Amino acid sequence: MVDQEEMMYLATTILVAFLVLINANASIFGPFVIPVVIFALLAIVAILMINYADFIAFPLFTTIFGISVIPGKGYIIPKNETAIIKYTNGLYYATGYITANLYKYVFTAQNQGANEETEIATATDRWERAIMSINFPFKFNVISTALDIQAYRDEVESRRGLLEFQLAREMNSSNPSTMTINELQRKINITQMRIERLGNGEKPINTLMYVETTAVGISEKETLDLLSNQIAQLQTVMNVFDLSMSRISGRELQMLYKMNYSLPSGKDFDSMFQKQK
Amino acid sequence: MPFDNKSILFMAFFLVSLVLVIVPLEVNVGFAIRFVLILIALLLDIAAFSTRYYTYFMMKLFKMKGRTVVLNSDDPFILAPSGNAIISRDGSVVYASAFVKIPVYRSATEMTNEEKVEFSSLFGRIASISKTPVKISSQLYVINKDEYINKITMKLNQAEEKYTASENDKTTPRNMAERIRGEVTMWRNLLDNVNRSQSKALLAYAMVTGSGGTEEEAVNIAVQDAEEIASGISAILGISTDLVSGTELLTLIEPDYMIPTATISERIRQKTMEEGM
Repeated sequence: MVDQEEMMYLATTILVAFLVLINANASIFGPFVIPVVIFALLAIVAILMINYADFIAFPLFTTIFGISVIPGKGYIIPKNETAIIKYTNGLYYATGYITANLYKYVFTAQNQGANEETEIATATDRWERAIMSINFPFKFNVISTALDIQAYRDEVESRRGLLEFQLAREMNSSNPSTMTINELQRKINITQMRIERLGNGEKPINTLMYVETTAVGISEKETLDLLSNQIAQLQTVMNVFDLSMSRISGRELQMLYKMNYSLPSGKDFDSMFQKQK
Repeated sequence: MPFDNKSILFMAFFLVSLVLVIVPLEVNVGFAIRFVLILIALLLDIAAFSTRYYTYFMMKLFKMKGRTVVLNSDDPFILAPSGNAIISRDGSVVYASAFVKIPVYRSATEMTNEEKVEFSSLFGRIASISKTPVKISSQLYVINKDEYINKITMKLNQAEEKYTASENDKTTPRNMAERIRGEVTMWRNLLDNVNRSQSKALLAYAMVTGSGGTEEEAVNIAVQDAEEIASGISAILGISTDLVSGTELLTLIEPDYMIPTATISERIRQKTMEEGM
């Protein structure tokens, strides 16, 4: 979802590039007209990439210019922005992070509770088996914050109202699409389930889940290679939990490093969570 | 919108970029100059958009020395005088984080399906225990054998010194020299056996952060929140929980405490020797 601030940043900066594009003709730029068009298009691509995939754009920038980052005394983030390294007592400690977004909640909401108990009952067994097969240090982190129940209920109810309106409009249209109707009904079911859960006394929470692992070695390269192996192993082992796991890099890596020492306030956390919706 | 660093930097980049686009279109200059000005304008346009996420980075990028951007040159945290919280700073705001140990003594293998579902839902309740963000982590770490290894290494060194002295001293009785040699072998075998396999432990904990204008204020808020969470967890899981302090606290945040230096160095030495054989 695009918020107001994002819209303002996108509109103003893309406007500059468009201004260049609409004025790009041979009478103004002569033989340079094609390079000008290419660079203006590249600028638009770069802006969209920073907005929607800054985990690619930022490491690309630091890698091209060979920039390392020191997030705190004793720590360094190498130019590819995929790990945080601490060098102490002649050893390198490299820490990497993986996202661990759990989609089960959405699936159970869709299935209206089917197999939910079996899934939950086997989850503890699967967790213990996973722990036993991992032979290196790691952390599974869940950051959660309780939401304002009334505000959340209002938000979900208004979303349901909007979806019901869209469904009614689609059904009354001259050429209703079965796919759109099914999709809208699925979304209405999910919001309805959420409202019912609130009615049953369940508290709404925002959560952020990630896995962290640390490798140790006697050289930087060896340690980073070990870390990549550990991350690959974690991705394989944790697959049994229906987790979406991808390696974290760039700005989010720096953010998670800071979260080792202090958590953001509820308001900041909510805005971080909004971006993931 | 208040004029903070982010807004000022955005306006500066955006306005200069806009001027550099308009001027070449209006003023009669050569094609090559126009092209260069447009190129600079597009780069500044991208920089203007980047301020949305990267103002903190750009501010430090301008002061970069060599190819390293220093975001923070201070220690990432200090231990509170009371030893039960860590303190970090972000500008004038002081953050303190406290940690609560969650000892879980039951395994899924000894639970019935109903108990497993109940246990999972209890953890769900823990996640929604606090209105402020709380981090719940499960950490697999290497058990610290540093003290034990250092003691054995010291004993081994003493025995080796005694053995060298007895070799040089021709008056040492033969049975005494044999006994010293046996002692050296014993300590060496013990050292080799200690780290033949890595011993690991699993620890679950919760982390909360309080902020304030002074260290005392932040620590008090964090400890108070942590105590509330500790009593909530105790009531939900029926276990006794404690605030983590001292070296144990460092095990949760510092990689060189999570993987103790002497323990891992000895393991690396053994692995290298095994690979060399």
